Amino acid sequence: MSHFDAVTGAFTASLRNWRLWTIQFLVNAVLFASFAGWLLIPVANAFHIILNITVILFICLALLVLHGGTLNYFRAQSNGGEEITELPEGFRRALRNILPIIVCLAVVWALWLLLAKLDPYQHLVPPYLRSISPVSLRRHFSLAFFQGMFDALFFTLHWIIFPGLLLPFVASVSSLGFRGFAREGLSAWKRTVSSIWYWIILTAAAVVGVVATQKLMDWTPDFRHSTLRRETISVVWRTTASYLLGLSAWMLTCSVLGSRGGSGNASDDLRRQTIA
Amino acid sequence: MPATYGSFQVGVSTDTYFFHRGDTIHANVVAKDYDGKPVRTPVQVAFVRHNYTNHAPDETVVLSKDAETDDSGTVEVDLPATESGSFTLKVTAQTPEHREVSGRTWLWIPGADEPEWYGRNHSVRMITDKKTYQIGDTAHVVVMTGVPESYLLVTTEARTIQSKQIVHATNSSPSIDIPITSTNQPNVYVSVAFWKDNRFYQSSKNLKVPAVQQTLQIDIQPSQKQFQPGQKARYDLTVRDSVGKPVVGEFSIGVVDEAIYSIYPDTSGDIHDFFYGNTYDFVSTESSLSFYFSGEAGKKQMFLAYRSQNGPRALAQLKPEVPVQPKIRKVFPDTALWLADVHTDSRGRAEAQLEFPDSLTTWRATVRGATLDTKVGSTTNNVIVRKNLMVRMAVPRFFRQGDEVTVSAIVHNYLANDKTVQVSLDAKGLDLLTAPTGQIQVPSKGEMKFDWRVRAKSVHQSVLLTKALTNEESDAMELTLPVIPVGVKQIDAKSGSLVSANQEDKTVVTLPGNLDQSAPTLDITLSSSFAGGIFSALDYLTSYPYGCTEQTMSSFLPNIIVAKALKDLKVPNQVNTPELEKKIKAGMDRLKDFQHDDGGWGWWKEDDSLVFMTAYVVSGFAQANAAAYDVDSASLNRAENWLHTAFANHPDMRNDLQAFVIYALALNNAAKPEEIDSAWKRRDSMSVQGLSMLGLALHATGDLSRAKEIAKTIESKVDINGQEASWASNYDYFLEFEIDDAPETTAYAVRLLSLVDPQSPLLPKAAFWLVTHRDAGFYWYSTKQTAMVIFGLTEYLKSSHELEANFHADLFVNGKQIASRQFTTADSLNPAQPSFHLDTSQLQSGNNEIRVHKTGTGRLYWSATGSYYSNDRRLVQTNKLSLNITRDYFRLTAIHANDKMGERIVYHLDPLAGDLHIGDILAVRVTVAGTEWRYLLMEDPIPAGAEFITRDDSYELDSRPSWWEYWFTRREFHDDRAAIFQEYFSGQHQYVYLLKIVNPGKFQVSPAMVQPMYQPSIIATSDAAVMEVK
Repeated sequence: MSHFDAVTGAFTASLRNWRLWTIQFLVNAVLFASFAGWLLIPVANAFHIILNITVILFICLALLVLHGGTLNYFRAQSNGGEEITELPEGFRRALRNILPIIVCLAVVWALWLLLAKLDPYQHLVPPYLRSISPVSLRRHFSLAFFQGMFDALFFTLHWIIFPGLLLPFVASVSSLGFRGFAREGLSAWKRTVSSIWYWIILTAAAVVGVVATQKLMDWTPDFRHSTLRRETISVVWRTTASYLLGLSAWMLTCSVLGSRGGSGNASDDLRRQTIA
Repeated sequence: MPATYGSFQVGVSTDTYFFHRGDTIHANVVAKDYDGKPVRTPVQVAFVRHNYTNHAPDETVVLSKDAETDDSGTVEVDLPATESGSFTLKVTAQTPEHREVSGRTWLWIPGADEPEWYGRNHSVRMITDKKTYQIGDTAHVVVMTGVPESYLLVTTEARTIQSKQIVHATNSSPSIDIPITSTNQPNVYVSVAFWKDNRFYQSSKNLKVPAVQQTLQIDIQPSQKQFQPGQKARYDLTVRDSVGKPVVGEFSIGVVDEAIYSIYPDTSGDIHDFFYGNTYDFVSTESSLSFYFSGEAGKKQMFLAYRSQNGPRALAQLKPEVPVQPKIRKVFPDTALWLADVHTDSRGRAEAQLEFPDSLTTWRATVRGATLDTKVGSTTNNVIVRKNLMVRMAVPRFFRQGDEVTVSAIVHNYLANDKTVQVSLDAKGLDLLTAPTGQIQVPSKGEMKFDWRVRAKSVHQSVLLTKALTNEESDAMELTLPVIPVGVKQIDAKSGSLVSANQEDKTVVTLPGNLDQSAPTLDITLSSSFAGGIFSALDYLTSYPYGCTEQTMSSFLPNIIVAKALKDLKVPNQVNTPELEKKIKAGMDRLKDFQHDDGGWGWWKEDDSLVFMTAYVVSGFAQANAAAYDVDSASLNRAENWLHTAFANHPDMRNDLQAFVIYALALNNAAKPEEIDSAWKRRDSMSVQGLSMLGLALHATGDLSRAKEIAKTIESKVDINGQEASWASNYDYFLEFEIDDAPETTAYAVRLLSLVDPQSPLLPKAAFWLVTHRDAGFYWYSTKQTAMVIFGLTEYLKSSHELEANFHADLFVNGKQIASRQFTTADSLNPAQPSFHLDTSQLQSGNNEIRVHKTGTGRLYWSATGSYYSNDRRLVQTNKLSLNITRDYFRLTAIHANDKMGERIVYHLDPLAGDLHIGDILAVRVTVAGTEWRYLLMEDPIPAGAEFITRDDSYELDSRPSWWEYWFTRREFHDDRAAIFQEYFSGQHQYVYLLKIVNPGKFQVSPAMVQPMYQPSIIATSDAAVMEVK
């Protein structure tokens, strides 16, 4: 089976698992709503502060279990496991590995903050590069072109290279716990990032999940012919479509992570986990 | 060119607006053309009733009469007042173009059958019987109350209530008689108010009583209607009062090029209106039944088109056989004559003589004046200075080194016959690329153009002399135009001092590059005291090309301070020349204009008020006041209030800035004790700059003990290095940016110590350090720093004894002696310090050795400033990530648009490609990007063959790009460059302006430049460009 077949196989298998999609669709929505509600909790007294901490911890925990479990499910799928038994097991495993997942995500978050230090350069570098380029070049390449090129570079860095390099570790840690940081995780990481299909699918997922959703949310009906009702319907439809697109992109990413990160043998993984 | 509906116009008027039934209305009809000449024409005068009941204009002709105007263009038509009500007299006539022209005047005839439309709205209408009144008249005012009976409160008002009376009105349109007296001049408001049925009625009418007896009739007659360039002329002035009696008075006469008024109209207004113009009604009648909000719309007058005036033409009489050699015209001032105090004699006469300059133009003479009893008047007169054969030149405003330009001579022939004209061009400082002479045939009453191609050489000035010679009359004109070097201006500055009895200093000023292209200059100053450093820096401040609030104040305040110091030291004052007095006046006016509505000052007029700028101006006003200069107290009070408010509203204001505010207020005796105490409590967290300001504030308020405590603290923070003492600082705490601010900090400390502890041993060392650390040669780092150092050194100057000098100095440049001079104590405070300007011919490419040798007692301070223009690749396109600049050109192409906005011309924007042609419109986009900066200055040189389009908003684009912004603090268009100022900058911004191509040629364009104005060592430049106009 080719790498691409493995990915499509895992993704099409996930499409048949309506329970996973339902869980992702509903739980993510509930977590979004919970987060919005959390923002409304006052901090007037000790009880409020305790409530604040409890709610945000619960939201984070639920988020990690949801997506860790999803990664585990796809990894089990690629190892040939049975979908009915493996879905709850994937979430349970994520819950058991919650500490290594948190450690892993803390590292990812720290690296993301480092990457964010480049953000100011996104608007500084294009005009600078154009200012030092000869007039013959500037005549053909506008500032918008330079900016567009740099935006594309930043997008690639933020949404393809950075997650492409780090998400395999997250998937391994989610499945293997702290062993995901060790040799097994490293070999899974090597397998994943060495696949050209991994990067193609990740790029496609970034385009669908980030670019397409952003464009969709930025688009507005022609205000000259629009009404409030039409605007409202437009917002609802665009939000729903963006949500579904984002969800699909994430599921696609999880499926490619699972297909490349798994050993190809479900029983191996499960056995090891049981022994551990 | 005015467009009119018909070839003439008609008008109608009556002596009064108010008639009784049965009266005869005498209607005066006038017909005249648009040159004011009378027109003889049949007219019809109609008596028209207006009916407003249907909320639409409804006119009914009650009766009409035909008549014909006479040779004077007038006719009087009598009509009977047969009905009551509101009417218009309408006069109509047919023009030769078969168009009907008309004029109207309004009349009122009270009576029982008048419509009572006014009463329904509870409004009161007042009708006067005349347009204007004279003293002794009785004004008859009909008040249409709309109620059958009322008690009217009738007042006459202007600046105050002049009279009051209660009138019992027994009908709805009572007539009130108002006797007109001299107190009613120039106008009076008749106000009526009454109560009826719990309603308040009020109305007012303005009666004009012109102060004609205060009007002077001024007549100015030139000795001729038309003059030749350079010809002597005389203006005869005759002044009479309103009844024709000659008067003695004082008058000003100005003769100014009429073209100047097209650029900037005379806004001084009519002098009679100024003294005796319409006054507002300062009395307000109100009732307690209601309240209201009041406001006011803009009342700015529209400027009408100004027409050029062409006078009569005359033919020359001399017809010799050989070409006539012309006088070369080369003096082209805007003002030919200005006399401020011309006195008329007992016959009311005076005369003014002048010699007209070389401009071929219309000169407007303006006379204004007054008598001792404040009779006032003004008048104007135009004369033409012209020739029958004239040559004028079509050239750019300047050349840039390396430009190849087509310059043209345009020959106008107003002689009776066609002429063969020999044209020639003599160009100094330019290479002539085509034959210098030629011959053209110019038809009578026609004009012809002759072109030359020239190339600008590496000089700072060019002189073009063109001649047009015929056998009857000839003309020649000479123009001097600057040649601006190409490249980025660079400065290599050195300074130092010689202390020992026999000592020599050597230094090298590097002036790289080809001398022909880099146009280097070297300026060296020598002085026998640190005061010399002050004097040479004053020139830098007064000649700085830009005038923000700080620079305006710094351009004249140091002169005031230094002049006062010299006066206190009893040294003959040579600093404040009349020229400088003008600059001080202009600077004061500019600052007044820059003051914001809230009372503060910003960097420029257009931005928000800033604490430092306001405090600097307020402190400067106090120092100017102390030097006996008039300061507008209202303006100062508003500024002080703004500072008080800023101090109160911003408790977190930087401590040093708080100290500066306190200092500015204290100098004006306006600092509040609680404000001083607040700053005092924060002294531990102040820098030396803030401490110095606090100390100066305490000294100004007489609190010497606390001032001395501050001085001790400052003394403890000094850096001493042998003979030098200074206070280090890497931050400007008042404008808030990083900079080596040691000179400014040291100057503040010197200023305080000079006042509080004049015997401090640190003072001579600090003054020495300041004079030997002039980073820019004869001045310091920026205008602000230079001004602040001058303030500090001047304060020290008063207590200093370092004025003794008795030495001989020799100056050598590249081994050649430039100067040999003896210095004595008398030279120490002489503002005319020796300075030496060396141009390209005296310099060499690369290193130029400067050697200064001194023998004798005393100190010799020297400075050397080399400047040159460079096209070195390292200096052009010197962009950094933190600050960079790019310049792009676009062409605007006119296209026809027809959409819902209507048919019109719009412009399409394309990147510039291909040849340029005369008339092309260019958009110049300057992109500046970088990190956060303050007080940015962008300078973008323009090609010599282009002119700015100042009204760029009138060019509508078919699709305006997002980068087309107008986001700047201020924009100025100079002859050779655009200057754009940005107070706060961050990220990336585009600045756009428009150019119109006006001259053919191949033009060099120097790089655009951006730099923080107060951190001039930081600079970014774009690439240079070449632009060819076919």
